[in-house]
Amino acid sequence: MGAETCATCHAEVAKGFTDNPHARLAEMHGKSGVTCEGCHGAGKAHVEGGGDKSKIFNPAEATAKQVDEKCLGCHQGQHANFERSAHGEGNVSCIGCHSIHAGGDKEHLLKAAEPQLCFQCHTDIKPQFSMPFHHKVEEGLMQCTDCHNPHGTFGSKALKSSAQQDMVCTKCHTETAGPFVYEHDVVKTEGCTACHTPHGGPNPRLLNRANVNTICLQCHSPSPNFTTGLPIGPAHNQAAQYQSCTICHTSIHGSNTSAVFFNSTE
Amino acid sequence: MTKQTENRKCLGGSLAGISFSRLCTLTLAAFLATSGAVTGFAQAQPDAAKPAKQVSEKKPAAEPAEKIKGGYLVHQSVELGGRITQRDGSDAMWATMVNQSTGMRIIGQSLEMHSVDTSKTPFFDTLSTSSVGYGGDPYDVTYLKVSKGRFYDFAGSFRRDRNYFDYNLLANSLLGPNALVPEPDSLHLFNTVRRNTDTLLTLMPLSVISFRAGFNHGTHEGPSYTSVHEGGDVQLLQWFRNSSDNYLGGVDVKLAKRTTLSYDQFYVFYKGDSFFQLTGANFQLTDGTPVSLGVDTLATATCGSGAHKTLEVIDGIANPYCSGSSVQSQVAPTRTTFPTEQLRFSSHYWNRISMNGRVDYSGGVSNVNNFNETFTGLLARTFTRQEIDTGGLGDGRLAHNKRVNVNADYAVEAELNKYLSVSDTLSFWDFRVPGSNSVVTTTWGSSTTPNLSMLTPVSSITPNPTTTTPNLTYLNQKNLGNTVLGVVNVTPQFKLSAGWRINSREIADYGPDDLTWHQNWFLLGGVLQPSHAVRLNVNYDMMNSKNANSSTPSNTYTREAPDKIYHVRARLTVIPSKWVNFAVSGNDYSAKNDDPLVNHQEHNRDFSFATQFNPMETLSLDFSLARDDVFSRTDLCYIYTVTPTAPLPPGAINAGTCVPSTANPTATSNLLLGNGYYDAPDTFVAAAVNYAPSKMFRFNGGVRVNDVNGSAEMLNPLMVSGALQSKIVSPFADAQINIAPQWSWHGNWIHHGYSEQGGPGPAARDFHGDVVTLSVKYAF
Repeated sequence: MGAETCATCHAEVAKGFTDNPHARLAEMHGKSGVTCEGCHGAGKAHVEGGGDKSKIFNPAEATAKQVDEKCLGCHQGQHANFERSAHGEGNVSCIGCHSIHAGGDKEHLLKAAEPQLCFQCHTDIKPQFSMPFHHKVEEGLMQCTDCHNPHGTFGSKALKSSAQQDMVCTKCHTETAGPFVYEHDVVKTEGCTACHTPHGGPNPRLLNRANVNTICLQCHSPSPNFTTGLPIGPAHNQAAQYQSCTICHTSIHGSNTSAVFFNSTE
Repeated sequence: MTKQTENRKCLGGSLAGISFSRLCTLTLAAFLATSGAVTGFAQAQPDAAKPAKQVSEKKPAAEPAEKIKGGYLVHQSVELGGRITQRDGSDAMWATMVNQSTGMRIIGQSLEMHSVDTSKTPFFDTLSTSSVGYGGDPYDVTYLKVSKGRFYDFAGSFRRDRNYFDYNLLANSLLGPNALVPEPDSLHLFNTVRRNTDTLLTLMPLSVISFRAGFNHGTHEGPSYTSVHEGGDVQLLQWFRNSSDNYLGGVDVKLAKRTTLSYDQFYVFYKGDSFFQLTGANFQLTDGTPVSLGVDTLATATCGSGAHKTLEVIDGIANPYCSGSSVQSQVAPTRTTFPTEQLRFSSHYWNRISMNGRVDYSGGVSNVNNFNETFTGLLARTFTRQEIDTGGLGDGRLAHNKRVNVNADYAVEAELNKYLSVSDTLSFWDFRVPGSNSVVTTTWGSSTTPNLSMLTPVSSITPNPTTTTPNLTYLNQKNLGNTVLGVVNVTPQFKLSAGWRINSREIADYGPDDLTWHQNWFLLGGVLQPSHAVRLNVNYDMMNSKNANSSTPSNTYTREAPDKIYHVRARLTVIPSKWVNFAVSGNDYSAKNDDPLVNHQEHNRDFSFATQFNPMETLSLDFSLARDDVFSRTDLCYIYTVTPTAPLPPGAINAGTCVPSTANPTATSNLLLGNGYYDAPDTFVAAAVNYAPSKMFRFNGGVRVNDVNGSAEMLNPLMVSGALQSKIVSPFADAQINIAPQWSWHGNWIHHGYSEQGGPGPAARDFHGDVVTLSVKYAF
């Protein structure tokens, strides 16, 4: 039928569509590709019915499954994990976050820019970025999608991976990735969240505890079923001068020189 | 001012930005506003020959008129101004948490270009770029996006972050009034900058075959402090110089209807050139050589033996028979490459079946080349006067490591009928990290060196070179998991899902560990969506971990890892009309490790509510409330010697896992049992009002309050709660007035109030300050 026919009634939408990335669909198939009808379906019956809404696909009235099928008809390759993701299974649907015609964020046709869009549902996460120590998401330096893929991944919590398929944290915190001669095993096996809370918290360096030593002693205490070493000797006297384990054990993410993660070869 | 404070200031000062007097900046901002308004009015004034406009006419809106240049519809804006800051309290915490200073700024910039006729604009159809923060803010961001129809898409960004950290409770010796060198700042203060450039080019995005090329460059550099356990636990200046270059090349092939095969080639090149050198050499030897005796030295400490036993420092002169450092340096240039190959596919060719998968292989190699570590001073315990370490592997390398990583994932989802679908996801992950190092150590001094002290000339001692046998290490982990999920669409408004996940983990290292566990997860979910205005999501996950064989004594790899997890979360979103919406979420995560000598428990319980209310077109109100409680406890053991200034912590006894036995041989009798208690309940409230009565004026104001009232087991008697008991109060206001066509004036005020309820510790950390931003925006 052609987008020109749609524009006779939906002039405002058609006018704004020239800026829309979907407008390039018209360039397909030797420049005879469709635009409006590519998503909304054939419009002939809708037009002949005098604008009968039941004769056209309206995402706002469709089920989440129908909307997802429509969008994934083209975007399946990019978002192959979406249907099994928390958003997909939770019926959030594509138009839960995206608005093709009236988005506040033009780059990805989002209804609102990050992180405000995400905070609309994830109200429990927003306060974490107001904690004394936090990743600078609210300041605009980082976005939720720097670490998470809202369309789903094979990992947990929709987390991305680094290019070398390591924890996504190593994309920026590259010095912790190693590999090292002496790995702090838990960093590789349990992940960064064994000691850190990535969004924000009241503890410095986004640690899980206020007192660094209690993080270490959680694992480095004698237990017959675990083989982690116990700190012994006067240097580890908590009553004396050593406040933080990391005053000595500074290369705590791994070391090429010291099996006990000193900076030196001792 | 202590040496430490001087050194802190030598790290580039505590604050980013240029310093201007407040009067100068205010004057300049006022001038900008006035001149902008005058210019704007001048532009709007009609020519003398034209009749004057009616006084009663409204001022035109500030939106720019449509402008077409070179075939493009162009919209631009630039906002210039300045920030004025005033504060009192802790400079260190202001710099750590806010880090704004007075000075001029490029508040923002934007440019959008859209082709009017794409057949006449050969290079691009759409270009958009925006920037914020340049001129002195601690972080700047620039985005760029360019595209040309079906030919290419390009997206790029640049981000810079000045990361200043000086929270004095971290890495602080907390020696109290007896400290030889007071430590009002963090011993691990840093003042570094991260820069990241990210680009991605997609060629022929709509074609059957499309190509991707990407480049990401990240740097992290700047001064910081660290410390080393050598020659007295001395402080080092650590200059961060790390960079990584990530290259991406990819191709996507649309093989058939809704079927895509993709190949990605990644190449990561990491350069680590951070180096260390001694700092904080606060004292001298009698020959004038500066020395450091360590960050955790008491003024009453003595060292040496016999006639040489004295206080460590007398009138600024260090006892040369103490452990101390006059030289401490290390360079360890590290070069790491991670070539990674990834093959992906996805298909929804058949309407009722979708599948996708990937396989990737990453074979990283890391070398530490030209290693050199030099110590000069005295290690009294080992009678070492000087030590130089270099690499003992071929070509002078210190270390050679590899990281081999293999991932394979496959998922298939089948729609059996309109009510029931099932999915299965198989995940395999295996990594191996073998490593080796060798050190050539040359030492000067031994127990037979007569009268060895920091004054003994190194040249008078015969060096003793030794080479360590190469150490070979490895860490391996293998994960194999499978998730089966069934989904029932009971009605179009109600959906249920249930599933089971099993995960098998194997970990082996060069120590005694070769262990295997099975984790079983039970997954439940439900969605209730009675209308488009209401959606309720509820999910429940439960995990149980068991060892898989008798050689694996525990149910987890670490004491703090849970072997049982219970997680419930519920989210409700309601949008009854366009003028009101609200969201409620509840999240209850509980976990434990029920090893009887670990007794680890943790939970994170959160309730939050948010609403937006628009009673009229010109007014909207936002409100958020959240209550979050993070808790954990773990039995732990620590060494503690009771002294008059360090009494026994309340309730501490030698019991439980701290009691030595045949089954628990690593425990010793002088250990105390702690509970590792940590509780951080937090209350967050945010309220804001947006008022825009006309196109000429817009106002936004409100307040954010974050209140943490936590407590934790503090093993050191001088430790205080710090930010664990703190409150942040930030009222803010923002106003924008369109003063003339295309011109608008912008004023913004944010108050930052940070206060702690506990003791000050080494130095108080409270601060209060205001940041006022005045700017003028021109849109054209």
